[in-house]
Amino acid sequence: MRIAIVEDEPPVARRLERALRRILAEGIEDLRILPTLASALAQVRTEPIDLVFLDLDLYGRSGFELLAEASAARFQTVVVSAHDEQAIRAFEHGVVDFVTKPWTDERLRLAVERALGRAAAPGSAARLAVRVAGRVELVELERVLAVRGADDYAELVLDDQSTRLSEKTLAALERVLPPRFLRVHRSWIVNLDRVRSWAPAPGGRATFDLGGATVPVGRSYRRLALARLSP
Amino acid sequence: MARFRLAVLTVWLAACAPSADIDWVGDVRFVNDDAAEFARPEHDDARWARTWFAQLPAPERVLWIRARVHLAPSERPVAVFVGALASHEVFWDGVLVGRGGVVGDTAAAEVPGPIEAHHRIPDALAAPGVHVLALRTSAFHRGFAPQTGYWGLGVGAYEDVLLHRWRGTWIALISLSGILLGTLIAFATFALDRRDRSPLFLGLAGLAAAPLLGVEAWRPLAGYPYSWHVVRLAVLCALSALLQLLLAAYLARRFPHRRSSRFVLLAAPALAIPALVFPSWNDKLAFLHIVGFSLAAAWTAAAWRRRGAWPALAGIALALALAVVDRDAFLDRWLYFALDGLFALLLIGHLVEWRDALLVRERAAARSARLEAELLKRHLQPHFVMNTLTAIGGWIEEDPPTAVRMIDSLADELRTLAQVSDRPLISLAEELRLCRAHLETMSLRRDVAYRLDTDGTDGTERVPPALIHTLVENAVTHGPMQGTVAFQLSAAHGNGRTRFSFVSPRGDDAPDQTAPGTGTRYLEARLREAWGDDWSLDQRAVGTDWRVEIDVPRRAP
Repeated sequence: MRIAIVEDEPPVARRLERALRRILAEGIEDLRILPTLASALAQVRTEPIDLVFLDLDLYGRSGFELLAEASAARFQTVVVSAHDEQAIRAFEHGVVDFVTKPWTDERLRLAVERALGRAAAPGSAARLAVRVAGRVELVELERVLAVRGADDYAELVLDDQSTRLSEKTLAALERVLPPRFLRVHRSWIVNLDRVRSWAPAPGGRATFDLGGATVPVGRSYRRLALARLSP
Repeated sequence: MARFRLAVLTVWLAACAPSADIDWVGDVRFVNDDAAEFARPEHDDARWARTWFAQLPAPERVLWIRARVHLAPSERPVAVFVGALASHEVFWDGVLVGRGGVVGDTAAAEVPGPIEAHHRIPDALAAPGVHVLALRTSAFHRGFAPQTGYWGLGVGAYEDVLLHRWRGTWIALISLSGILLGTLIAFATFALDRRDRSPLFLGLAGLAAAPLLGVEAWRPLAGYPYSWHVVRLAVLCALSALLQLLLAAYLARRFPHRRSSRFVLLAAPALAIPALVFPSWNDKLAFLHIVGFSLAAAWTAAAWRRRGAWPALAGIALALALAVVDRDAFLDRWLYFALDGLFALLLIGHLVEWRDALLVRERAAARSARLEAELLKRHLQPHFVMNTLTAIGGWIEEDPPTAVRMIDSLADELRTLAQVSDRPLISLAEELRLCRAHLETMSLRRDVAYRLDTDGTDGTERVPPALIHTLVENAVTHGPMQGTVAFQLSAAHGNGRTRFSFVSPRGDDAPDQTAPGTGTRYLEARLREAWGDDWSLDQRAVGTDWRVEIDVPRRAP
């Protein structure tokens, strides 16, 4: 796992590094400490980063400006901050976890598990940050009909038939999306609130009609999907 | 209120108008000659020139005046009133009943008589019916050519004649109490708050008005030889000019403008013009006040947006209106009444301002309580403490002695903060201790060597708590992230003020312009609380630095 710690206080960054090395041990491929989010965003283009531990209180810049930028990026973000009053908004921006300072190793371990998908994440994003023409756009989740995975990014299908590209993978998005967003196919997550009807398809599969889009339902997902669909 | 007073005074003045109980002599005959027989009632004066008493010419040497008066049966005892710029002898049916000074046919022979006099007529001579009144007069000592050298010759009941002299004085005396009270309040206002010097000039104007009034009342109250009249008029003129000049100086300070001093300098020659232009003293004096009040009105009208300008303008307009409408009686009567009204309205303006200042101070006090809470909250806020504790945790793992240092500096900062936060002003030394404790904490948190250098600061000077601390905090937040970072606080003293300059290097990420954040709002509120509006705060990027300038009155301990 490739980890970046974005933190402007070196003693805190070093402490976090030591804690992560204790928790992940051999699981860390690379760990670097970066003083600004800009340096992390710059680095992610050349050397991939999987997980960023982000301090929101950086040099007087608005924490939410940073959050929007971070959550549009392909990496998962865990916020590490003393501003616990910002947790709800952070989750709404689609961070995978929010750890308050000072942390314990147990709490940090849970955050890592959530980021890895090995523990249930709170999944309470209210909007998704996507990058459009170099600029971060926040898309309200109620406008999203479905999300399609494509290689190492994801495509959001919106209710006006338009699409947006997210730099995150489908798996990463799955961890931050709220429960009404359900994986129904290897490459599809669907917004259950927007399903109008379904139809059976050959080979034990099905299709969901979402008005603006038709989404295939995989054989292994069909039973759970239909069960969640019924009122 | 002014209107009410005007109404009351109008009624009252009507009651005090020259009494109908005195028979004023209008039609007289006169001759520029001197003979004892002119006193005799049977002397034939048919060939003498005839005129009104008030239009008598100045005597060439000795001037005789004759008139016939009618006594009603009820008038007893009877007296004659003489008001003239002349020495006189009064003959009643040929009998000398009184004299004012010594009438003479040369200046040396004449001894100037009183400007106003009354003479009792013996009861035996005061039978009802027609009597002949003859006056022998001379006037070598006038010193100027008056428009009216003779203005009052009347016969009436003794008390009426006696009281007549005082009647015109009452208004002046009542006005005097108002002016003195106003003067006292003006000086007290200045004594209580010396930052505004305008009440001082109002008080001085009051001090000029009081003797003006005294000189005005001198004639009826004490009387004086008519030769003094020209002196009295000159003194009235000088005091009037001084009063108007002080009023101009007051208004220039009360409603200051960058041309204030020019206004006062120009007012002086403008006030001198009427004195030079008009031949009659009455016009000189009346127009002096008309010019003065006009200048005052113009200056005040130009400042109409300022607080207190409207009451002031109303008072000045009232005075100006009285001067224009009743020019002849203005100095005798209206000026003092006008000054009363003017003083009252000007002081009302000051009271309104005081009330506003009080409200501002009350609001500032309320704000101060909130600020104190905010100051403590900002530093005791969980995130400040939590961030610091997180860093301390890091140092405990890495280097326990550094962790201990950090705990000490955090404790020092929090302790100092708790000590100073409830005081409106603290010493700069305490403030700097607070700043340095904060920098010690932040140095250990950030791994940056922060330093605060001072130049010209006086540790005993008083400043609002966290004034510099807030600047330091901002500078740390937006400053460079490595190496040694030095902040510079310098203080320049002069004219009873201190100008603090705080210079800090900017980090790469720091914005060029900052919207007023809580830090700036806190600074402004503390400055307002401590110094009202008498401060300035200027902050801007200068090259790679951020520069903050704070200018405040200097507060010694």
